[in-house]
Amino acid sequence: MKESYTKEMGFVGDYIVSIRKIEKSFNDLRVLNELSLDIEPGIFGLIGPNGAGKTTLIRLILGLIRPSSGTIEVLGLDIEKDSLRIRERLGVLHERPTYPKGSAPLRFLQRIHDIYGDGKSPDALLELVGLSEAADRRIGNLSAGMTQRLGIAQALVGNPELVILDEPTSNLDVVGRYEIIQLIMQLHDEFGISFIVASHVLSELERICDNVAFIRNGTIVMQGGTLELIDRFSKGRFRITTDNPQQLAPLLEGVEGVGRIRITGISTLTVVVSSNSLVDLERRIKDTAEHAGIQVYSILGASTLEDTYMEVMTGVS
Amino acid sequence: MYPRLKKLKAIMELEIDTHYSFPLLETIVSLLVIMSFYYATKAGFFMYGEIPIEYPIPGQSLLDLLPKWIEMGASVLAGRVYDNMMVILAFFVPVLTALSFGRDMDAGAFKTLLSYPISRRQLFMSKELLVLATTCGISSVSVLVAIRTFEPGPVHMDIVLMGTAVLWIPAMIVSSITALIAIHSRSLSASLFGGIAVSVGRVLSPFLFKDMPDMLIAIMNPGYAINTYLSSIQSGEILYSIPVGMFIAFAIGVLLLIVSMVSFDRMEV
Repeated sequence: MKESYTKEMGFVGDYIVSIRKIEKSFNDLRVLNELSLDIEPGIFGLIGPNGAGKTTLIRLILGLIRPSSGTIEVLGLDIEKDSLRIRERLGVLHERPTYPKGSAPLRFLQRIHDIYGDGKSPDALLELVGLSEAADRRIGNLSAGMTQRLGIAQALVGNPELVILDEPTSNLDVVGRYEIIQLIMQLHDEFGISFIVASHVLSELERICDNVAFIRNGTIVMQGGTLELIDRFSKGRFRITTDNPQQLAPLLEGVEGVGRIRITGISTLTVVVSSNSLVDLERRIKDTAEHAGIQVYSILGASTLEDTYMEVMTGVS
Repeated sequence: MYPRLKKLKAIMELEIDTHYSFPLLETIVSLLVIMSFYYATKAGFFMYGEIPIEYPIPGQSLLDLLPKWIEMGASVLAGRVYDNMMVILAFFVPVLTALSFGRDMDAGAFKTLLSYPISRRQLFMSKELLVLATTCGISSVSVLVAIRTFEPGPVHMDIVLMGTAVLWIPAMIVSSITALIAIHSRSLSASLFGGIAVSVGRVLSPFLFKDMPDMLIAIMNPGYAINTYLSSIQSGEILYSIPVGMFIAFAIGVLLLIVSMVSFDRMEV
């Protein structure tokens, strides 16, 4: 990693972030516990429940707080020694960011541009994120989606190699979320920018992330390629959509080939099956339900990131 | 050096956009101070000394007129106007510092600011400089205008220096303490009330504690010490204590500024 940053070429190493045995405590509360993580270029998802340590990890990467022990390298540079140089090559959108409400997006981006001293022009950035028409409006009057797009624009001012997004779609409606996700993919495809996205919304991360890590109680419990993890943890797992999952669940316990059962919604339950013949199993489940007067609408493979996350996290707990 | 200055300027501009949405108010207050100083002092001359309102008299400097000025009591009136300026400063300095540091702390704006390629020292210095420039800078202009009102000839630099130091040194102390409170409390209200308490306490302490030693008065409230000397007592002891006290206050101010900057440097955002 020591040779992975050159002035001429920028970052040329294997990992954009390399974390080694990081510990962080606030008073007596240990938030990160010997956490190690290597992040490859691409779009990386950091997933975990509230209080798992995601934001603390981001703050450490940015040098906003200091680790109790351990080392972090970002783009091949040590955060303790080269924090400023790292931030020159990095863009960040924090959760619930605050921008000058009385200022206009164009004016605000111009200020950030002056701080970097170089980089993308504010006009071009506003066009890129679809805010050209709101260039001179007060930031305080922008909608949540527009403010979030402005947040992404300010993160891109310095032509970053890596952008960190902490809950980028929080407080956004469905359309707003879709637009932000599309924007992230577009930026990655067009400019080759790597992203670290910390989020609760797993369906979005599944769509955009090359790699993900699950964090819980300050430790990485699972890390890998998104598709690889889904494939690994969703084999033999099916989601049954029914009109009465509460009643069906105990009945399925007696069905041959059905293992663990979990009610996952008002009309869904997830089962782990060990049977080789899925057609037979599907018939047995439907017969059991029919005898009890329960309607089964569908039996489909449970192969989403959310299923994987639930499987991993319940396994850990 | 130039890119650094440009960056400092950009941070200050961003800071103005964020926190200084009312520079107009500050400007209006300063203009009022200038006007009150100018007209009240002139009126004092006219009322007490029957000196025509067309004053200043060409060829006479402020120092030449000082004994006459003291004798007729106009200095008391001018001193009170100057006191008013002190009170305005005593209010504005902690309020602006608390807004600049405490509100950013409360709103979590520091994490955004410090995610840009800005060093903590640059951010701290630009915030402090802006507070002092907005308050003391404008008030210093008031003082210079007031001095020029009486002394149209060559300006006595010692008077100018004394007049501005009386504004800047206490402001530096109050601003540093307010910033320190904001950094450690992480609260706008704590820094606001704490800063105002320190500032007003500093101004009022010589009035409240009559037995306070001259040196301590000169450290806490140099404006009051100068007024006391000019308007009534004029003892050599007070005269000696003023520059020494102000120098000590300056040293305390610099020390507090360094302590605040180090605290800001170590602060977890």
